[in-house]
Amino acid sequence: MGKTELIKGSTEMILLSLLQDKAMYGYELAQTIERMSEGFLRFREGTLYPALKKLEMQGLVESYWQNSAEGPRRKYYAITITGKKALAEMRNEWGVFQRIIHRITGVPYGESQGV
Amino acid sequence: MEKVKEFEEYIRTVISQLPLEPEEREELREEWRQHLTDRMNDLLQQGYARSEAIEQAIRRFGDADTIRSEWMKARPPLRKLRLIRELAVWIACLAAAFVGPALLIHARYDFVFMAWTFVVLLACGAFYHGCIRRIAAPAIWRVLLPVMYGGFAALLLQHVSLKDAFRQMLQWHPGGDGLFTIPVIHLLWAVLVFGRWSSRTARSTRRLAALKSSFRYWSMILSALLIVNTGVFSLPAEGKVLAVNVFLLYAFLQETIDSAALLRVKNKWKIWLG
Repeated sequence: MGKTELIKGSTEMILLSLLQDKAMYGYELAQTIERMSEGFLRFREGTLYPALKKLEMQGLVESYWQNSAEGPRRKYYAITITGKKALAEMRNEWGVFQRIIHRITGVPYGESQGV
Repeated sequence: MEKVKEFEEYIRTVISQLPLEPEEREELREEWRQHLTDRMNDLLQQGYARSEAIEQAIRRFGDADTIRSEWMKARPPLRKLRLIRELAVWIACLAAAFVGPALLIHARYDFVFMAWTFVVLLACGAFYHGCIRRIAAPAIWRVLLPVMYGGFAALLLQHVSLKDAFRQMLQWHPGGDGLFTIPVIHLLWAVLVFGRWSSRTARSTRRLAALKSSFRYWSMILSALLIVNTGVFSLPAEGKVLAVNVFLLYAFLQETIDSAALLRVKNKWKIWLG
């Protein structure tokens, strides 16, 4: 499985996690992902919007327009209560998944290798 | 914000083929334009030349085909959303016809009410989808909305004097006309405009949506009045009252029911219960 496939599968969880602390606009999300993953998670920025739309249609995220600090209005995305619950479930599943992968492949989890 | 020609062209190629409501399209355009411009400005600050910065901003956003296909997967098809709304409107109208006559005029339940409502709903659907929704140009809405309202007022004043119309506006007696009374028609209109106005979208989007809904609403009201008043159909009085009420309710619900919101509610339930 290539890197892009891995990223695709975890997009929802990444986006919900980032929005958990504060509402962000699309470009801000793209920048944050890039910064936090130290460039490992390189993806087509435009695909962020369909992903956000999907979360919005599922009621996990909501959006609104607001003037940003620097001036122009931007579309902000915020996590909903349902989104927080869904995220908690995803985290749980992810933990189980990691444990099992670790058991089978012996790849340690919780520490980074070569990133 | 300055508009970069390359960005505008790029955005157009991506969204022109997406099945979107006009307001949605405008929002996407603004959001993506902002994103690309932000990226360009960052690259310019890093010392890139302008043409390079533009090219790279677009490349990093992704190729049009990928984004388009991702978008199609992310969003339920428009047809599905419309079908859900249509169903919800019909169910609500039939339910109203089931309890309405008894509540408002103490009529006993009659199967004929339901059957007639069904027929009127068919007419509403055909007219609304076949005619009113086809008119999709904001310029036409702007011109026709006052014409529709003027037509409504003119028809009204044939039957009641201006003074009486104002008096009725202030004191509503539930009764023989059901919901189709001067104050209720205006009240529902106000609710509808307020609903559009208070949505959390951009202001230009809200203004357009309020105009669109108002136009559709008054078109339906006026046509209901014309149909029962011209005597094309010779209907008993109850039939007329029921017909105008169904038209009113149908128009109101079509503009207020948000099928995407219904889907969201369904999904939320699934998450909390499952």
